[in-house]
Amino acid sequence: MLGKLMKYEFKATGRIFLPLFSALLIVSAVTRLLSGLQAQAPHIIGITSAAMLIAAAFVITLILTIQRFYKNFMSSEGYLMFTLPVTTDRLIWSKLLVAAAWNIICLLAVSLSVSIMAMPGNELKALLQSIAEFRLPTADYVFYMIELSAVVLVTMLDGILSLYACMALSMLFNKHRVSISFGIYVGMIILFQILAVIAASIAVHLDFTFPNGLSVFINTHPNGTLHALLLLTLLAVAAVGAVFFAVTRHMLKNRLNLQ
Amino acid sequence: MTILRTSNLTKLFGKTLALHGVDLNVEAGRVVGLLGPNGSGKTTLMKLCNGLLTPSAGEIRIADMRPGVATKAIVSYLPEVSWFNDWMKVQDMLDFFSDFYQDFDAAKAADMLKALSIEPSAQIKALSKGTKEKVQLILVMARKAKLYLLDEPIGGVDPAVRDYILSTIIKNYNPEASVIISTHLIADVEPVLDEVIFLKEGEIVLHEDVDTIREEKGMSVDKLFREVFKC
Repeated sequence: MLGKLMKYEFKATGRIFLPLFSALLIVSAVTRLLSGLQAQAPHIIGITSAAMLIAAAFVITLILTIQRFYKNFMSSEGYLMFTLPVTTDRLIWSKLLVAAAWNIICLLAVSLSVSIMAMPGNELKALLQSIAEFRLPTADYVFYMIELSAVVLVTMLDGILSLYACMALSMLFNKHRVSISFGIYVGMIILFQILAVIAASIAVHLDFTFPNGLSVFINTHPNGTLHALLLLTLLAVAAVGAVFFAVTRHMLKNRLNLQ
Repeated sequence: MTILRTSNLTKLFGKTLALHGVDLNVEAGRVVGLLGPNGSGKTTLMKLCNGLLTPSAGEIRIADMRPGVATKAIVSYLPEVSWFNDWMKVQDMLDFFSDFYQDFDAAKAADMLKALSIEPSAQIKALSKGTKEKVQLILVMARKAKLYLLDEPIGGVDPAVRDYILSTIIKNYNPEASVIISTHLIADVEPVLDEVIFLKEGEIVLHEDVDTIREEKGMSVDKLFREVFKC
């Protein structure tokens, strides 16, 4: 059922994203070709249009991430979605995974567009060549890459889930839900800042002299330490995401209040 | 067999009591009118049965199960609102229902659309309000559900369409299934009802067979309703 939910979610979003990202890549390619001409004007127009499309890509990705959840789950479309014989968890996952996929595709499309327009020919060639010559580095590097990608991915999921949780919490109110969601989001950011400041000031006063065994371990196993740190970061980020997910789930399951 | 049973079902919105201690039994194979003025709790009751709201107290059992994934698979619900995703075509909705509901009869839905000359290729956004309501009803009635919950199915359409909708409901529901129709247009639905429930300020004031009402009270449901809910 998750697959079917995601299929419809991709259909609903793809009809906006696909033309947008295609337009971005086409304009970038045309701009690149125009840069070879003597005339300046067409090149400048191309760059300006591409810049506007890049801005649009980011803004539309954010807006659709928010709007798909709000419209499909909290407006009249919710009457259809929440009477389907599927669990609330699957409904949330389908939205989350598809939104994350589009956020990643958006980043890829923008990077590709900038590379097409800005990268000098020889560098582009060098890049392609280095991809072709890519050989698997040491095991440590492979693990770093996996760990870092996981942290980036889970952080992205966190960001999306934080938006979902704020919107879902606004169902406690009957009116002005959009502004209330925004207020909750701002409040949450301020709360996190305060917590970070408190944590930092506590950390300053803590004595970080490790027992001998640990510092010896850190000095002799720099890679092991870094892996441990990355995995701890991953766990912490995932824990925050789990809280956002639980809040969203609780609201949609037990406090659903469709308008 | 009891298809729907509620005991002491209560729903509070803040301090407002929308439903109060509702005890209800609906047997399989019945067409039931859920009647009451605006704000009497009809929609709240339907939303509770569909898991769109959680009871403040009491319990709901559908085919002896609490509202959840399993009951949603056997309940076909027509809400008051239009739940369409407006980017879809009519055909997309047929596919959507086929994908999610095992009891959905796509061929039957296609026949019903054809009878009303609604093109499956039509963009839902472009349909009139009445046509949208018809498509929504067709989708809901083309399921072979155990319980149909229809919230104001004839509220927004003209009398000719009203007759079509009612005959669609009666022709298409499976005889072992039950249909609960909420409405305040009693005279229109009266001919198709087996029993009626009168809901007043969140409480059941009457739950009776239509034949019994006619025989014992010697009046139509419409007349009885006017008497009970006299202002």
